[in-house]
Amino acid sequence: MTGRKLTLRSSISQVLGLIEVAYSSGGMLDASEVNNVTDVDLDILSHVIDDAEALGLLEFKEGNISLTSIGEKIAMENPKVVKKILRKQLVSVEPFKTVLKMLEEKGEIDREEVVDIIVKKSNPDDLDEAFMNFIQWGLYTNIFTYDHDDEIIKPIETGGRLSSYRKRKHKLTSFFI
Amino acid sequence: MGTEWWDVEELDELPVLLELIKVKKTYVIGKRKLEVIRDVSFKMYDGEFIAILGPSGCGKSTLLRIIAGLEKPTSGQILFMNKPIEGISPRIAMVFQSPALLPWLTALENVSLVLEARGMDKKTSMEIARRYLSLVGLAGFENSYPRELSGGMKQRVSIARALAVSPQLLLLDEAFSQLDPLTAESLRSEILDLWRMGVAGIRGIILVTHAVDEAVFMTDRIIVLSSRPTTVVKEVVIDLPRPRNRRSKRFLEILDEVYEYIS
Repeated sequence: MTGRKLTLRSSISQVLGLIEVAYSSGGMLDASEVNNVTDVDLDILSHVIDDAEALGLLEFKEGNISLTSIGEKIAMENPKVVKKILRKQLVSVEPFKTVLKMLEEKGEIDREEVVDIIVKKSNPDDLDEAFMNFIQWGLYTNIFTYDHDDEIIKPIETGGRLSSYRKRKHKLTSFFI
Repeated sequence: MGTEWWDVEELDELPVLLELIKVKKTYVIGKRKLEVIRDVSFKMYDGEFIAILGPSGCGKSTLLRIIAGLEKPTSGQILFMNKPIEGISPRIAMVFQSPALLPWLTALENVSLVLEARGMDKKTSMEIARRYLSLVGLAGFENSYPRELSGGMKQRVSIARALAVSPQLLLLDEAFSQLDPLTAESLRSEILDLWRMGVAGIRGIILVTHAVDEAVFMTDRIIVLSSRPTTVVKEVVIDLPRPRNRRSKRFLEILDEVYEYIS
């Protein structure tokens, strides 16, 4: 997964939706079939495919989508397991990789710092949309918490929240058990 | 709950959850009468997930609102668990096309509000709301305001709000039609998972839709309605196990069959 990144131009629901479409079509189909089944906008579909591929959920070659074993698991498992799998995939994908490294060092980071990382790693057209998607991926997979009022991101530790800088020495891996 | 599928003959052996008997709805607009629903009758069995399918404007949402007790039929009767529906029932919940969340309340508050409105204390209602938000994949989003949620997430909040009141019958009024196609697909899958897992004690789901693929993919039986004034054209049993393969021969045959009835 080295060097992989999310475009942050698609949402979790869109990525999971694509996996469901592929799974209900036998695990393999071409992009035009996705368009036929769902009538999804092709511009959006390309970003969804990129993000699903970056997460190792599918392979996209010569216009054909085929689910990986991880993608098949996502389609079959219950939401709790799906979150676990996605969390495992996300932590090695940019911009999450860099954000999590910074969280490990600083204990908490604000919106501006996250946006800087998003710009460097994903270079999205629409920053607000990218930030919203980033937050939604992180909250959905329980990687971090987000304080909507103070716009602060904090990591989640098993059994409780790491609420302050004094807990920053916790190993990164402890966030994802 | 969420049994796989039945043969047509087996349906009559199941207990009836809902029965519509010659339901008619006519609106009077000035001196004009607009007949929307004409003598619609069908049964829904315990443990069934059915679709009401028909062309846009045929009156299928009106029919659903009558089942929900939000509107009264002009004539005819609706029995829910063998008792007539007279007004809004706490055992029936509805998810609308648009999530209709209160923008000044968080996701958690939007869900807990319906419980508090039913007399539950704040602490308990918050606990239940949290549980149902988690069930629809929104753990971590409890304190998010609707403006901070995507369309799919807002609709998940409205599903959590419907489930939180522990309904026995869940009504989905084109609940996926305003979402982008992939988000809709994701949400369909989650509803099916909830149904198959038997959570929330739901004994039946009615999906109103005009999307044939959606009806065949999700439900056990399709009630096909005609254009206005609507009548039942055909009932089609979907004899396919879940999860369903859209490319299977039988799936495509059923699609063709249903398209024939609505065209």
